[in-house]
Amino acid sequence: MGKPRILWVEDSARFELANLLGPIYASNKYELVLAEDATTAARYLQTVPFDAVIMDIRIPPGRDRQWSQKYERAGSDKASAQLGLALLFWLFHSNGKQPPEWARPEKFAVFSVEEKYEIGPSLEKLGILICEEKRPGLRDTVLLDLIHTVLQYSNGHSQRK
Amino acid sequence: MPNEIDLPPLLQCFDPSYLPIAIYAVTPDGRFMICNAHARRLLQFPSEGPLDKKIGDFYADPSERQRVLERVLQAEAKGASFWQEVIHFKVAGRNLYLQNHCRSLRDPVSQELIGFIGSFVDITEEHEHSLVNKTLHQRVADLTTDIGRVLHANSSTLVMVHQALDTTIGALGPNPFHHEGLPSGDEIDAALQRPAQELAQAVAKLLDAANPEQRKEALPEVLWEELQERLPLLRDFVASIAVQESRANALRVVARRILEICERMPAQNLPKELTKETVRAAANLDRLTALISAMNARAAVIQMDYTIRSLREFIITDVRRTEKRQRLRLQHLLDTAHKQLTEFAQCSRVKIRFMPPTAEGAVVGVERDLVRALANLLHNSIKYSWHRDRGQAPWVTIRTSRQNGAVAIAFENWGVPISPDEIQNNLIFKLGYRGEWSKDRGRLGTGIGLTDSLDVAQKHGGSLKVESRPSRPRWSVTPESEDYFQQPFITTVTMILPEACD
Repeated sequence: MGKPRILWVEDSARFELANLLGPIYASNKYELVLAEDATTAARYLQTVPFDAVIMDIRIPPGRDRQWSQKYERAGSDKASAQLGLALLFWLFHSNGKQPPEWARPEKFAVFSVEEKYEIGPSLEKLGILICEEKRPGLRDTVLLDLIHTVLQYSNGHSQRK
Repeated sequence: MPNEIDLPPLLQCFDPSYLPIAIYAVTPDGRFMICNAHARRLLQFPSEGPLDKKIGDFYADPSERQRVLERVLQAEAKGASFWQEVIHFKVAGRNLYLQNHCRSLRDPVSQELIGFIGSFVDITEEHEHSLVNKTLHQRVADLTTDIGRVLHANSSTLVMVHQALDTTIGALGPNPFHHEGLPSGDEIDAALQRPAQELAQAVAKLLDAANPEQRKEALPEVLWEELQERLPLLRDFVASIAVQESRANALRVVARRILEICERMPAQNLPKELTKETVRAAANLDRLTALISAMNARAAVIQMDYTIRSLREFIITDVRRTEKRQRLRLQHLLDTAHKQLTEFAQCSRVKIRFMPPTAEGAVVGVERDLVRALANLLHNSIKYSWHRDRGQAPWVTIRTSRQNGAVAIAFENWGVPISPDEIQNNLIFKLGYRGEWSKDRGRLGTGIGLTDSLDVAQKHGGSLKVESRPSRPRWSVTPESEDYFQQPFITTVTMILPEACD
């Protein structure tokens, strides 16, 4: 059996947040896939099964017009585009297709600067319960811990089923 | 017009009812002699019949009427034909702001004061808007000052962080990178190779040297297994860690873990030299990765420092003391702007070239604003430069020229493109706008620099011109193709200012 495959959707993964990847690679337990924009993330989510997906909310659109138009429509405050959320709604509700079989809300977590009260109602609609706020002072194992939590929760969920 | 008061002869032939504004005349004690249809509507009097209120009854502050009359009389004494001001009435509980044009009425013969005559214009809506605007302006001014203060404090914090990182980098030496700038990913990989191999070898020797009995006494088997499992990553971290930017940190986590495991090894159970060698190699890898982390953090601080300082300067432009315009040598302005960005250029490993080496000419303007505007352009040129192949350092060229009574200062760099659409539609000059291709490689920005520089140029009677074209145009790569904006562009931003006369 291979290592659990993890998708991290995060545009700062190679920059400010690169340190969070260190513990994951050092643990040697996971196969990590990075998506740094909505276009790349959408392509992965449609074509590759993941054991856990950690999603940022403020992500750039990438090349696909579908996402760049949404981004442009947000006006000058691009953060309000919340493409990460749009991507989740697209995956679970609105792309005209059933989500891939592997994609269940319990496999998803949100890791973002948005506070829970801002995005809580949307996550509730999506059925995503795990959410960690990015803030100064977090340990560099925060991403690793989040992945553990999602895997434990989603395994527990499938056993209960 | 119905009145209870007999009109003085002066007013008897005056019929203001047809006038399209509110006209009134009152006795010195405020009883209405005339109140035309417009005035009646404003003051909510019946359209006909006697008026049961005095004008003083409408003042929101009753004592204000006396002050208004005094001012009317003072104006009269100075020879003014009328007095104009905004008065605040309360009519049926509602605020009414009226522009009041008023003058005294005197008996033509005796010159005795017989009343006041005037007109009202209802400006309630405009006045209330202006009150809201005034409050908003005050709030913006307060907030601006406050943000300026916060950003100033942040700049000071960055200085402290920068100095702490300098100290840390010094303490974590020797530095294997033979320059002051931020090492590239490939340089970091190369620098990590040897320490990672040395640690892998030391761990492998330790694993080989210990016999089963020693192993059992020294550490639980699970930790020996963990040491074994760490070897592939140490031996080939480039293949094991796909994201280049996280390699140093992953190796740091591994080195720290090996140090933790070594600390649990009782000294007498294993060959002393081998444990020492392992600890030394792990500590060296830990040191080097910490050094890289500190250098990355320092580069981020240097990048953020200018962004915060220029943001503060921009924000407080309207609230700070206005500075005098003066004659300024172009070379002086460029030197000052360059000095502000020397460290950023060094850290980004971008060389600044002046062509010609000394800029001729002078301009008249506000030094602080002109320096900031030029520094914004230089900062962008450095930030949006790409590193060339074969280790050649990128450069920014600052060309200066004088022509037709103007000086032109052009900043030219090689790297991130600006699309024709963004230039032609002036998108790049919109406050807060960040270029479509400007965000690659995590470049920090506020979208203020170009807007600010254009504003400063225009306030000095100048302009800004932006050009961006592929460095080596290829016929096969058209603007419509996906790869068009993936190639390096030469971007030139030119500030043109009127030259100061000798």
